[in-house]
Amino acid sequence: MKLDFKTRPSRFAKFYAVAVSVLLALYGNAALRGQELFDDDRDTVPSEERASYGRSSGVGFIYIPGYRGGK
Amino acid sequence: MTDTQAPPETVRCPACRSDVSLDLETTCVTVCARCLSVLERSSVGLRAIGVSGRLRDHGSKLYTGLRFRHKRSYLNVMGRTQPEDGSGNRWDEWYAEQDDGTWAWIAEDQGRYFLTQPLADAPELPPLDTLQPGERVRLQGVDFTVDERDEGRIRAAEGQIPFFFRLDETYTFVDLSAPNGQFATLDGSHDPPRVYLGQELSPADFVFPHVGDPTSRPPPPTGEKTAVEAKCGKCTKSIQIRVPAETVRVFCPACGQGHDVDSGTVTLARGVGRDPANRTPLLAFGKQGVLEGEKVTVVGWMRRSVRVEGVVYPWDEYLLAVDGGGFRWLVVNRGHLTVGRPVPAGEVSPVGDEVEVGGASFERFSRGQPVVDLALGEFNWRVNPGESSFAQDWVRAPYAISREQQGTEANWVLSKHLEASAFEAAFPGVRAPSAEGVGMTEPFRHGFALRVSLIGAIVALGLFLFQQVTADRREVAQVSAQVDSSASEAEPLTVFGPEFELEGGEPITIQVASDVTQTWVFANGAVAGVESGLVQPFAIEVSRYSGVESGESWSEGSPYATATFSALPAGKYTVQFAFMRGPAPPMAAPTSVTARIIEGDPGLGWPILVFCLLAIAPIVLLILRAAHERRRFEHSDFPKVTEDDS
Repeated sequence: MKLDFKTRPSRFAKFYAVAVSVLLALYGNAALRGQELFDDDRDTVPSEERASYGRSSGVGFIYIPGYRGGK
Repeated sequence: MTDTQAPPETVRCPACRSDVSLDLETTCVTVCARCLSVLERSSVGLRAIGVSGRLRDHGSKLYTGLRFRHKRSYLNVMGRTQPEDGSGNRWDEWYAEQDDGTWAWIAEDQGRYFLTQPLADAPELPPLDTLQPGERVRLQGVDFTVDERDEGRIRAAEGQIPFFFRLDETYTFVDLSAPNGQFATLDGSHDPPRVYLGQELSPADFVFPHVGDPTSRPPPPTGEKTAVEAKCGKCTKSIQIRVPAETVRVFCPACGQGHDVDSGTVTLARGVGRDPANRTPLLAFGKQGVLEGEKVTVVGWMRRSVRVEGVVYPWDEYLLAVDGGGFRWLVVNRGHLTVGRPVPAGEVSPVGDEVEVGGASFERFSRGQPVVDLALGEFNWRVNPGESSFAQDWVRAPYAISREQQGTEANWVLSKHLEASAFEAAFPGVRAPSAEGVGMTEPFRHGFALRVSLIGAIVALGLFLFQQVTADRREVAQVSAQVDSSASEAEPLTVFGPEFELEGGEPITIQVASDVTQTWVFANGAVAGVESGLVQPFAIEVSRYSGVESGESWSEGSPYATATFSALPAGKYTVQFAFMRGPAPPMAAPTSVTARIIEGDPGLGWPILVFCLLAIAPIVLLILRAAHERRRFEHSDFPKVTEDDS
């Protein structure tokens, strides 16, 4: 004798299934592309500004937002 | 007919001189089709032993003369008897000759078919009168459960029958069942009792002949199945009997007077019945509907109740006749609806306080002695208002399994929750009653969402593990520094790292390790593209404190910290740190700090977010489900009691 314990999904369950699928898709996409959830704001420093901050010593230019000096 | 069959022998009925058939050498009794004389084969020819009663037409698919196929063998229906049990219920016993010349017994009761054969070497059995419903009997290595012990007597017969019997002679029989439709009957009309073993069949197991098959007789015309109308013996109002072949008791819908019914003939049952006092059923008698694919007709209505600690709990039961045979029960309890169907006792296995059906365990729910308060319409047993039985219920939503015992007969009924919308679709024009609380079989509506959560969590976990296992972590740069208290927020220690190459497409992690103690070190910094000018800032704090308070040592913080950010495009990069140290004791040694830049180390931001979001709904749903179960068991004899309640 086989009993069927499945119940019809409620409206909430259908919505929830879609939400879970979207969440997993976002996670999967992020994992594939090497994206992290929280990034500090990235910035691109124009080449003329690079010389204004940090140093030029053959290893490149460094720019630290909000920091204008150093040892 | 088959080749193995003996040539038909035609003899004359000693009562009316009509021709009667004795097709098989193993035929013991034949019934004259004209005068219904029951003729017993003897050494001196046929001997009349009585006259058969009128057969009730149950609308069976089988009939005498039918040739049909079951699995790989053909069967020729040769005859039948109609026994009646102590409650007045009649069923058909068909006798069919098989291809190998042996006989098969096909019992048919309320739309169910049981194919059996006598067991040649019957085991020694306990006296049939001692067997009780629920008792186990081992037959051919299988544990059978006693469904019913009753007394029967053959009231009518037709065709050829493979054993000797006496009409209306009472004998004891015991019906037993085992899992997967196994069925057995112990027949006390023989000494010692005969054992018949077999299987319940589905009507789909029968393959009937094509129309015009010359080896099979056409079906006889049916007549008794149509409704019968009678007058109430008390108030003379009209009483409809819609299933006269099955009905043995009918109650006048107007005055509640009970009547006995025998083959459609109605006689007043004195002292049976109660005045309905203007109570009307939710479903009118004769109302037709389609429930779970079966066409049903409402034929009877009972109001029953149990009294617990002085409180009466009533409910309604509607008897539904299934088109094609059998009955269903529609139960309305506090507005909740269930549909029940009989199941053999052998399909139910007791396990402690629980029972198992179809591999699923059911939790005990109630036990009591329900009383029939009112009965109206027709019933296939001799129901008597005021009578009680012993009933037990077990539940596993959306199902409940119930056992009801009265005397030596125990019946199991499997019920399933019926949604109000399904009820209204089944009986158009009838509004479902409003439900109160949580019903016994009412399922938790968000079970599907719980399953989705679980599947989602498993997928997320799989993704997380895959990411961690397949990650290719590469250290691309390392920076070390000694940070003392002079490195302050106003004037941090700036350290430039070496130039390094990033492959791109994978996240970047900055790991900072320090021997910091009783203070903090803050690393503000950025990874910057040498050629692109792309700047990714980061900020990491490392702190560790410890001490002793009230004799107990404590510590907080960690000498390690990390920051992870998204992949940067492939190319050349460099890194700058601006270290600051918090207040430290005078003369404290500089703090050693080592920072590693790692490409390909997946962070935990996404997994933490996904698992947190996936956890919210299941936690809420589990709380709701616990509340649902608690409310379900509020009306149970075995309520779920928490520690707070006790």
